[in-house]
Amino acid sequence: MANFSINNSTGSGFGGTAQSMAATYKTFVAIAAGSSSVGSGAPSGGAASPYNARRGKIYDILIGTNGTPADNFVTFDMSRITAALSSVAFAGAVSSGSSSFVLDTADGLIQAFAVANSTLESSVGVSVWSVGINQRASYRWVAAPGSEIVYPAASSAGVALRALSAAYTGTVTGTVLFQEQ
Amino acid sequence: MRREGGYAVIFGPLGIQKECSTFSCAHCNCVVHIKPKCNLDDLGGNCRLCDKLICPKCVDLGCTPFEKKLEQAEARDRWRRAYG
Repeated sequence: MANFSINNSTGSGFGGTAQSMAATYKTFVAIAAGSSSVGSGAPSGGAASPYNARRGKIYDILIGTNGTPADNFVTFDMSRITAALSSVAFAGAVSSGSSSFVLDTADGLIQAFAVANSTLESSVGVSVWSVGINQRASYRWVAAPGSEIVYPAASSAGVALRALSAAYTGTVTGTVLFQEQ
Repeated sequence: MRREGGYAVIFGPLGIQKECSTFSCAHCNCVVHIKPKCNLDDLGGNCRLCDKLICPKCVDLGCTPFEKKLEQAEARDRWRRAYG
């Protein structure tokens, strides 16, 4: 079981440019089980296709903002992705940088479909985690073993980390640590 | 809380502003933040069939453990791949 970390920092060398917040949700990190075919779903992260999708477990989430400090309310949310993904549904797939995600370099490449700073939004399903915080604050959630946010080893199933704010129009930061089974 | 399912902390400009335990719903997997000294009914409940904590949305919806939902989703995906 390999552990990975993905964030939306543009300094990491992958993903698109951080998107400004708005009154509607913006996805800044998305992770989903890839499929063997880009045409039928999400492209794989870095492994050669075809391959078997892997179940994923999100065990750590860190969020914050990096704009000029002010007292605004920002809502962060992690929702399930159930519809088929493609590079059209979420722009900014980071397959070329997949080797950057691994925490232990002895582990293999990520097989999940990962997106940082998507410029497009896709339909999402149930929200599994949501928190509203002051723009000046940052937040961390760590799961105890066995209580992680899990997505199934099924094509295009995954989670999207999103944020919205009616007043704050800067960018947000997020780091997600997850495990592929 | 005994056997908590996670830990959440909010850092403000002056340090830790708030921290609380969390648990993950055994039926839908959503994360529930446990407010200190809150009413237990506000947290959801304890499923009498699987004997696990569940969120307010899953109360009164019957017992379908999340692990079973995962297996069903994966089985559907295998079927779809097998039949093109």
